[in-house]
Amino acid sequence: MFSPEEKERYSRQILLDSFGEDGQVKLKQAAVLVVGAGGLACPAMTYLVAAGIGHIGIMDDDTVERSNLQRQTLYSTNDIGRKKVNAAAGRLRALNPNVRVSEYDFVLSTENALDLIAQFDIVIDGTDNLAARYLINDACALLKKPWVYGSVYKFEGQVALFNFPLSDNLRSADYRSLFPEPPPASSLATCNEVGVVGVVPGLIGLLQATECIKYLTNETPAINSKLICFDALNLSFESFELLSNSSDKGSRPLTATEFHQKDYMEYCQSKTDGSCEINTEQFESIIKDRDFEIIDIREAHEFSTFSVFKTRHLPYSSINIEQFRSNGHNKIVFICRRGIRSKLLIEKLKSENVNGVFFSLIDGAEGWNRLRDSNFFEKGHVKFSEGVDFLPENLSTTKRQ
Amino acid sequence: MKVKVFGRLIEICESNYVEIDFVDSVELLKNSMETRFPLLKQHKYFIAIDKVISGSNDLIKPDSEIAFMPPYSGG
Repeated sequence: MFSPEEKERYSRQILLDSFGEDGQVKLKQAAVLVVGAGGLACPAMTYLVAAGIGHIGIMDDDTVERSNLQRQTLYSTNDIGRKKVNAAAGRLRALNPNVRVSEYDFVLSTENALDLIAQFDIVIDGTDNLAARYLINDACALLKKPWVYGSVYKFEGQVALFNFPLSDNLRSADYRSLFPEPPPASSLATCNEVGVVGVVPGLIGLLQATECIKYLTNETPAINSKLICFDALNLSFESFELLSNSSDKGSRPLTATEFHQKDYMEYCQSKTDGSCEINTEQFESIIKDRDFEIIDIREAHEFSTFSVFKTRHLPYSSINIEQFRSNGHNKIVFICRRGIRSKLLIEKLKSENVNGVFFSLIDGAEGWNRLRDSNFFEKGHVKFSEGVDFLPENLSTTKRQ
Repeated sequence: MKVKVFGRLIEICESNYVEIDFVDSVELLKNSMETRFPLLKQHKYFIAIDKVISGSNDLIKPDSEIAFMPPYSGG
């Protein structure tokens, strides 16, 4: 089963009483699909491949950016601009040529999920958005496949093994046991929006790999039916028990046909109230009318200069809601990098009963730049300067115990 | 009683711990917290009592450990 080279490579884990050569055989026979190739996936894939997983699938349609390198440790400076799946596969094959590495240079969708996931024993969630997470959850539920959830927020992280077989007909809790329906997209933030310390996804990714290896080698998963929460600032772990018999599974599709008909992007986006968001066409119209004030709430480090039309720069971190109350009736479009902080700010203004008409540009400056072609800018329209990842906010405003 | 909050809820509550008057049901607990921090209404979160994710009918004891946990999406 194992060559002398493999026996030497895996000797330290084969030495373990509860692992042994049997455990190594199970790993070699196992196939793991990793969805997303970012901050969680990089450490998870590194250790799975080093441990001798038989087959690993890497799925991501993104390219390596400089701002990824602080936490996505499979990539080097020379990889900037390369497809993540190609760069990651190269590194992983060099780490362990005994492992079969499959590259999927596209995103998980209802068209490909069931066929693809069926080829693997377990899925690792390395995504950073809800649509992908609910899609993984529902596909794994239909296929009766376990998956390892991981996610981070600033200095905190969560990890859980979902849909684990408890008996022939009973599976452990899944993500819909926590949140039967998606929360409003505006209430969530990615690492690109709020920042993250690289070691946090690093640690959560390692925990995902740990539970994956234990599942595949029949060790009892420590986090079965538990959600583990990690706080780097307090260096603490807390676990919460999940009830596997939760009957509320939201609008989870019960058949493959229902699954194929579901648009997960729309499903998760539709959970926003939408009332304050405007698209680029509406924004163009507002620019022409000059009726609204346009306020860019990106932080100073996120842009340099721009302006064909009149704008005001007011960094999100410095905003005091009261300053809008004194202006009488406001008519403002807020712009941030991706349209999340601007929407959150409007929610705050509304909850504080500040009068005015407020809009948030959908997808923010990044979305605007993506949609506008070069001719548009030559006609004298603005192109927002390229931003960098939003850095962690000053924590002095919150108290921690 | 002490309520521990996580993730984005820390920014809304301006602390990772909130002290509130004792209530014995999840529903009253939720009302109490959302009255004090109205922005909580715009966020989804689950409530754990004594480290178990709870339903809306669960009872709270005076010495129960309470946690409010929102979804995270970074990765």
